[in-house]
Amino acid sequence: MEGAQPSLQNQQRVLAAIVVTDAVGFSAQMSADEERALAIINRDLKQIAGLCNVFKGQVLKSTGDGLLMCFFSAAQAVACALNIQKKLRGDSKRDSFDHRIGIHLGDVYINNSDVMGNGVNIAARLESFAAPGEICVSQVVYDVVKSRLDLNATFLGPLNLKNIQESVPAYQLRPSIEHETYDEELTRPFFAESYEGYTFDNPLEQALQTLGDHDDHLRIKKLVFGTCQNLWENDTTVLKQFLLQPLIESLIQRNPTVEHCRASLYRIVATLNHKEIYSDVAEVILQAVTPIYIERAASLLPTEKEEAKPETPKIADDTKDQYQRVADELEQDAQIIRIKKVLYCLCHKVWETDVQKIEQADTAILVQQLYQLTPTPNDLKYHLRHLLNHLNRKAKYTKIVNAIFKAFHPLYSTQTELIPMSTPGLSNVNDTDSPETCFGDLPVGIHPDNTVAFSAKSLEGQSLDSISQVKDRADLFELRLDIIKYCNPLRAKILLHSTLYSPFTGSSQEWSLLRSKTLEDFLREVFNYCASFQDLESKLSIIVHCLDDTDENEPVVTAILNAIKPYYVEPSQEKTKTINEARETVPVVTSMRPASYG
Amino acid sequence: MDNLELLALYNSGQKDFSGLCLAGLELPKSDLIGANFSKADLERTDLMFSYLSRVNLQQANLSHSNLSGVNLNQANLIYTNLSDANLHGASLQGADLRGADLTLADLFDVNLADADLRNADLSGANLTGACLRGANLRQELRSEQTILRGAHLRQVDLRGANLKGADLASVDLSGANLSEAFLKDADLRNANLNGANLKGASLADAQLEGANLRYANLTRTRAQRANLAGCDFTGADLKGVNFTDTKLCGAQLFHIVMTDARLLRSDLSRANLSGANLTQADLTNAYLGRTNLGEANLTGAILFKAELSSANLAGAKLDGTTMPDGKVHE
Repeated sequence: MEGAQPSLQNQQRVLAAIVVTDAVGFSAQMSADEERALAIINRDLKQIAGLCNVFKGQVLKSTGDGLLMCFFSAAQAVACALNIQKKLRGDSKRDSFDHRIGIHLGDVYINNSDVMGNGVNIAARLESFAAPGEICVSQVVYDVVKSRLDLNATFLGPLNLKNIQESVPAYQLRPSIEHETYDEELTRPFFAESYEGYTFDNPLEQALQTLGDHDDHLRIKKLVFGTCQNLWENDTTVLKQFLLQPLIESLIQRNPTVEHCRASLYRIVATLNHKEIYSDVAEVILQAVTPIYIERAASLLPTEKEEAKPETPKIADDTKDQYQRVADELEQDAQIIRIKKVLYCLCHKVWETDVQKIEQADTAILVQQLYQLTPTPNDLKYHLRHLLNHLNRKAKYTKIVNAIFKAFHPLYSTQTELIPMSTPGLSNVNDTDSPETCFGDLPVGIHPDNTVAFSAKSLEGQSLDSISQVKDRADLFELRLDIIKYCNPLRAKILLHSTLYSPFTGSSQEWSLLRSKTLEDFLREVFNYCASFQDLESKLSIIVHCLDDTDENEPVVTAILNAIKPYYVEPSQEKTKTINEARETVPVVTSMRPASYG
Repeated sequence: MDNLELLALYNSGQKDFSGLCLAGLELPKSDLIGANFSKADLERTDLMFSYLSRVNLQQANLSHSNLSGVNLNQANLIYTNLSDANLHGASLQGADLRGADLTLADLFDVNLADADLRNADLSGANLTGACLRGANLRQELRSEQTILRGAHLRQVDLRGANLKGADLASVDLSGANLSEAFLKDADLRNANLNGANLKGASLADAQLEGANLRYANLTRTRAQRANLAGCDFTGADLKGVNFTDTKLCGAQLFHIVMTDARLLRSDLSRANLSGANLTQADLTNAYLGRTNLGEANLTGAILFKAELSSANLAGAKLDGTTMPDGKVHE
C-alpha cells in the first residue's frame, strides 16, 4: 500500500476507489438559514477531509455540499467512510447534516484538478441510493472488502443507475453503533498502525490505558522515553519518575503525523540491541496513538485551539487595549523613565542611557514586545530578576521591577501569586548616585548612538557575585587533571561522547571520533552543549544507564561532575522558578532537553 | 594457556606469570592487580579496561597490545616493550617506565602524572592531550636520554614535569601546558610551541632554534643562555622574561610586550623589535647590531654598554632610558 502510491499530480488513468459524499437537505437548509448552513457544511467537510487524510486518501474536489475523494485501497475507502459516518452522526448534540456516501472501484482518469470516468459517475449515483448516514457501495467494492471487514451490510440488488447502461449490484453499509467491536475488526488487518479500540471519546486516555495495561508496558515506556529524550534509560527508578502521559503528549507534540511518529520511534529502535522486540513495541505504541492523530485531524480547528491556548484568542480580540492599559498604568508611575529603561533593555538587550530615546519609545509597544518575550509570569520574573542582578542601583530598581511585574499581571490570564522581588545582594551594592547604572561584567562598549552594548548572551549570564567564583574555561588543564586523577580517562571520554552524540556502542566510527578529539575537546563541546550544570548533571546521570558497565561508569560521572562544577555558574535565579508553571503541560520533559535538540 | 585458565589461576591466588608466553590472549576488563608478568610475552594481548595496577611487567613484551583504558597505576614497566601498543585513555599514574620502548605507541589522553619516563623512547608516540604533570623525563647520563623526537604532544600537560635534556626536536607542543616545567638543556629545535604555556618554566641552556613560539606565554620564563635564534614570538607574552645571555639573533619580536624583561648580554642582532614594549627592560651589554627598534618603547629601559651603533632607533621612545654611555636620556 505504501510507497507504491501513484502520484496524482499528472494526468493519468488509474484504478481507484472513488468516494462521493453529499449532505442531506443542504439546499433546504440553505434557503432557510444560509449563513448557518454554510458554517455547518464547512465544518463537516473539513472533518471529512481530515479523516480522508488519515486514511491516506486524497480529496479531489468539493461539490459544495460534499467531497469527491479517491483512495488506492477499497478497504481504506470503506473504513474511512464508516468513520466519517460515525463521526458526523455520533455527535447527536451538535447540529450537523446527515451525509450520504457512495463508493465505487473503477478506472478513472485523473488530471490536476478533476477526475472523470465511469467510475466517478457510478460512485455519484450510488451515493444517491444511500440512506442518510449510511453508505452505498458497489458489488465490486463489497467483494474486495467483505472478507476483511465485518460489515453490517444489506444487499440492495442490481441497481439501474441513471445514464449507466448496465445495472450495478450494490450494498448498503450501516456504521455500527457499538464502535469498539466494530472498528477493531474493521481496520486491524489493513494498517500496520491500525486503530485498536478506536473511539473518538478520548483517544489519549484510551491510548494511555492501552499502553499502561500492556504486558510490555515497561518496554513501551522505555521506548517512548527514549524517543522523547533521545536517550536510552534502563533504570526503572528513573523511569518511574516520568509519567506516561506527558511522555506520550510530548511524543505527539513533536511528531505532527503518525508517519513522523513512526520515524522517530524507529530511529531509536535502530540503535537498540533487541531490534525485533522493540519493533513490536513500536507498533503497539503506534497503534495506540493513531486514534489521537485521527482525533486531531478530524476535530475542528477552532475548538482545538481554544483548548490548547485559552489566552491567545482572548487577547487577540482586544490586544491593543490590553497592552495600552498596562502601559497607561505604568505611565502613572513617577519613575516612568526608569520603568521604560528596564522595558527597553529587556526588549532590545541594550541599556539605553539616552533619555530622549527612552521617552520616544512607545510604552505600549514595549509592553507588547516584552509580553511576547515572556509568555508566562515566571519568564517575566526571571528576566526582570536577571536584569536586576546586573544593575548597580538595586534598591531603586527593585521597586521599578516590582511595579512592572505588577502591571503586567493582567496580561497573564492564569492567576499567580505576586511575590515582590527582594533586592539581590544589597549588602555589597553601593547604591550611591553614581552615574546611571552600569553593567559590571557586561561588555560596556559605547555604541555610536550612545548606548551600552549588552549582548543577548550576557542577559542569559549570571549575577556579578557568582561570576567571580567561576573558573576560567580558557585553561582546562586543571579540569582535565581533576577528572583523570579520579577516573579512567577513556571512560570519561566515552561518557562525554555518549552525552554529546549518542550512547557509545563501540563501532569503528565512534572509536575514530574518540581518537580524533582529546578529552579537552570534548569538555569544550560539553560547555557549549550543556548551558547549566544541572543540565549536564541530568544528562550524564541518564546516559550512564544507557551504557554497559554502569557500575564502572558511575564513579566517572561523579568525578566529572565534581570537577566541572566550578566551571559552571550557580544559577540562583533558576531556583526561584516555581514548579507549578501554569502553561507547562509537560514540565519534566521540556526542562530536560535543550531547545536545540530535535 | 588460554584466557580462562589464566584468570582461574589468578583467582586461585597465583600471581606469578613471569616469562610465560601469553601472546594474543583476550582479557578485556580483567582484574589482574599486582600480578607478575615480568619477561612474559604479551604481544597483541587485548587487555582493554583491565585493572593492572601495581603489576610487574618489567621487560615484558606488550608490543601491539591493546591497553586502552587500562589502569596501570604504579605498575612496573621498566624496559617493557610497548612499541605500537594502544594505550588510549589509559591511566599510568606513578608508573615506572624507565627505559621503556614506547615508539609509535598510542598514548592519546593518557594519564602519566608523576610517571617515571627517564630514558624511555617515545619517538613518534602520540601523546596528544596526555597528562605528564610532574613526570620525570630527565636525562641522567650523556648517553641516556628520553627521546620524544617526532612525538605528538599537542595539548599535553607537562606542568612541573622534569624534561631536563629531553630530546624534543621538531615535536608538536602546541597548546601544551609547560608551566613550571624544567626544560634545562632540552632540545626543542624547530618545535612547535604555538600557544604553549611556558609560564615560569625553566629553559636555561635549551636549544630552541627556529622554534615556533607564537602566542606562547613566557611570562617569568627563565631561559638563560638558551639559543632562541630565529624564533617566532609573534603575539607571545614575554613580560618579566629572563633572556640573559641568550641568542636571539633574527628573532621575530615585532610589537612584543617585554616589559621588565632581562636581556643582559643577549645577542639581538638582526632581531625585529619594532614597536615592541621594552619598558623597564634591562639590556645591559646587549648586542643590538642591526636590530630593528623602530617605534619601540624603551621608557626606563637600561641600554648601558649595549652595542647600538647599527640599530634602528627611528621613532623609538627613550624617556628615562639609560643610554650605553650611562647617561639617562631626557
